[in-house]
Amino acid sequence: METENLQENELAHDIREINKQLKPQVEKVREFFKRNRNLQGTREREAIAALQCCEMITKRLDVYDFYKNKSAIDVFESRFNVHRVIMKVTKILEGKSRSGKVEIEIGGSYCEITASKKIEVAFFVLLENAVKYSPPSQKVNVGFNESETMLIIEIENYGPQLEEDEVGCVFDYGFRGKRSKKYQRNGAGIGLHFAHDFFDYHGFSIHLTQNRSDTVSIKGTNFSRTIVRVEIPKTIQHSSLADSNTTEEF
Amino acid sequence: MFGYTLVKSPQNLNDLNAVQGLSSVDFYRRAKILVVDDTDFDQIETLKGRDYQIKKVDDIQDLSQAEPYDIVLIDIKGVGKAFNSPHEGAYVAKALKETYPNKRIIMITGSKYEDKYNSILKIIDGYLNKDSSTEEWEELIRENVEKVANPVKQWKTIRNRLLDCDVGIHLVYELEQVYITAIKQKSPKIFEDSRVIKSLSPAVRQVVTSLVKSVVFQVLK
Repeated sequence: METENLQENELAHDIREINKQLKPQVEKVREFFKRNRNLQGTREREAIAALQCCEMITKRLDVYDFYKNKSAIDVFESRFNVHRVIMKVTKILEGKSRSGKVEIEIGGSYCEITASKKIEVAFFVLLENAVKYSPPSQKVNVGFNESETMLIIEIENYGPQLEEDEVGCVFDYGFRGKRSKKYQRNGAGIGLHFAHDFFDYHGFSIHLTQNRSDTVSIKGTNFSRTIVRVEIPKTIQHSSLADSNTTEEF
Repeated sequence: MFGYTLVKSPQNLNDLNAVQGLSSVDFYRRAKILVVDDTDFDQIETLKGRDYQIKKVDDIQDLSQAEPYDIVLIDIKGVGKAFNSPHEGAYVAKALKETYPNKRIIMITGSKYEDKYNSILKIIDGYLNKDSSTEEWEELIRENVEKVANPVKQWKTIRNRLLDCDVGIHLVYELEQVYITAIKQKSPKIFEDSRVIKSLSPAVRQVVTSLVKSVVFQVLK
């Protein structure tokens, strides 16, 4: 088991190393097209798509990192604008949303929170999920609601309808609803579980609701209006450092 | 008849927030950044092209090699061979932060899987994934330049270290006044030549003089 863990760690490390070499090269190609507007077109879009793939590799590895050492991921908190984070995530998913003919629309917000910047990974996973399970020509809406003490972010889209007994399981590891499996063969049921774990670890809460009376049927599959709601208290106190189990002194 | 002694009013450290300095762009371009990593990063050449002062070395043999720099990015593994620690770059990062508390020490990491590194993460100033984009590199550098270029924050860090090293409170006060004068008059020499610095022990003096080499004073020249 320990050998397997080490091998997994080495593999993840190697993938990050390869991505480290790939990403700047693709960035340079992208910069070239930015500077040479007369050459923009298909090749530029390909460069953007390649860069988005590099970013997605990073996000996947960040998920892996979180499960390997939760305490490390959130040691450094800073104050930042959540809207900006979600805009960045949306850019990474541009290629995927375009190929799935799904549009992401984001409401405005100036709200700043104090948290780990790695929260980007959790929002990436949520939006990726929404894009993946949205039927074509539909929209994913991201809305912001703010009070004195709380920021609420809602990701709304049409998603495969869940059975009533499935709603309570959506954040379970490995869970995929019946209609989700039918609509999208690929998937391991990790995304929502990770997002729940991540937000929960940071003291945020996440809920999923579906409005069964707002349902559309596309190619024989029912899609219901689905809202994933993330509640972020504006002041978070972290005790993760006090709890982290460091076994070795330097 | 009454005699009187004219007592100079103490200067307020927070007055330094109002000192008219150069624009923040100059801080970004004047801050010195050291990258210690046994592999190459293409981002570094790109950032040099954007006028950041970055030097990359494969390894360091002595902590003093980092003294001229404001921000040090150091690989978690594969460096620090001269220090003979099984924790390699992580050990050096910790030692750098302890020796130069005013510098920003960032760990470059491909993995954070061992929780033994968490104790290091607690005392340094951040980490950067190996496959971060150039934009993320630049954002991290700018955030840390803003911190290292703040004269009030820098002094508070040094002041805490002086008190932790049992330097007398009257000496700390005197040095603080000299520091404020030096910044206000844009004359690093006032601080460098201070008799108080000369009276400090070598280890403590090293901490204070590294401040003289930092961007806080360098932009005044």
